Amino acid sequence: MQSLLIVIAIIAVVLVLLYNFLISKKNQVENIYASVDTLLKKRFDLIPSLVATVQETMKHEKSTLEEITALRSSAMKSDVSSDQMAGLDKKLSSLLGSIMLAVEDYPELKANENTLSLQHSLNEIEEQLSAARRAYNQVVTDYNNAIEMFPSNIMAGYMRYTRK
Amino acid sequence: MKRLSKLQDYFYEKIYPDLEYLELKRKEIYSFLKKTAVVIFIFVCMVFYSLVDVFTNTFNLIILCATLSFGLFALRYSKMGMISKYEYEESSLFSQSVDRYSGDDLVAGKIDGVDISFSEVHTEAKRSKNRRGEHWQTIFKGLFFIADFNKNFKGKTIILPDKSEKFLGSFSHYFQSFSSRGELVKMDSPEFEKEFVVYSDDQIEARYILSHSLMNSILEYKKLVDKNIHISFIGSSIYIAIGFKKKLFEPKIYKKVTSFDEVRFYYEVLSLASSIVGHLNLNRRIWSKR
Repeated sequence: MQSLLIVIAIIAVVLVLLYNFLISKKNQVENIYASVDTLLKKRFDLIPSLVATVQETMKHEKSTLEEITALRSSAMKSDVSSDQMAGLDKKLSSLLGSIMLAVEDYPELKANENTLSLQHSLNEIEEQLSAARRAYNQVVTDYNNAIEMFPSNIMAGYMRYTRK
Repeated sequence: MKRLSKLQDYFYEKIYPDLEYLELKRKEIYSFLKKTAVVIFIFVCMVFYSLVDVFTNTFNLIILCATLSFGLFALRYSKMGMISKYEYEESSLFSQSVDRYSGDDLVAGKIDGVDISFSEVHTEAKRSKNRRGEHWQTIFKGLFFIADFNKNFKGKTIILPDKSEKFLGSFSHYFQSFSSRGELVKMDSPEFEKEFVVYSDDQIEARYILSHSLMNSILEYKKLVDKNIHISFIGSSIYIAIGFKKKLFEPKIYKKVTSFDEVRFYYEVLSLASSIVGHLNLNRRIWSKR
């Protein structure tokens, strides 16, 4: 009777540990994702200043600038899903890239302090985003590992966790 | 022939007093010679050591000035100077408490516009006293380098040689995650992971600092010098500690100094310091504090 109780106690402890382990992995994913999201929004927030600084000078790029502003409006909506955000972010990256390239053709813009400061901020955010994405990949891998490897996969099944 | 006993009597009567006097004189001369010998010996030793000292200092000055001006650095050299114990402890690279701290050969100044300073540092911890006396254990011995990174870090990121991964492989992550240094950060470069273990209290900042190009640069160093490398990014400084067994900047009086090997060794140490600045792009505008 005694030994049966001990076995049950051990099993209970193991179950609790597994459960907590999985919860922590899940929370880490959400935590890092939140940081990625914040950085993405920060990038979108730079757009109004960027557009204001360059639109006077860069008449040729008017359409691109309008597209970028529209992208920002879509991103600012509160009901954007993570997949939609990823798509918007991708589009923004390519548009920003072409704008930055176009800046090279306007020497007075290149020397402008505002432009320089904006370029610096954009670069900074890009670096941080890249770091955040790498961190996100790592926690997602850890999470998926936890879900799929034995013995936590059994618990994960009960908790209905799915692969990200 | 007169008898021997008569000679003896004559000896003690007539000759001995003069001999006594001579004996006194002999003793005086002998002790004087002994004292003089000691003094001369001490004098010779002093001359010898000061010559060696002058030799060493001159040698160091020649070599360092030549190497520094060849490399076009604006650096100052101080034989007795060293990185302070405070800075050593700030780096959080070595958690053992230090019982004895020493160092020399401080070099400080700017390389490519970045403030740097480095010196040899030797830290020891006292092991328990046994009958044979105190036993000292070396915590760190080698080059300790500090640079102003031009950027304030929110957290602390520490990179240490990965001793356990070589034996345990990926299982070592489990053991390494129990550390007071912060969270274990698993980097996305398997080569880097094999050589180093990274701790930080901010997962994203650690990856922001350790870009792939930086990781590659650090790995290149490791291959070039094949020593234990410890790096930390704290506050606005980067601390690098490279373990050397041999004492740097100490020429041997009995070995010839005209060989290029010694100079090459010093040059490699100095160019290592400067290329750390270059490779880590400490002067890159993107890192600047704004």
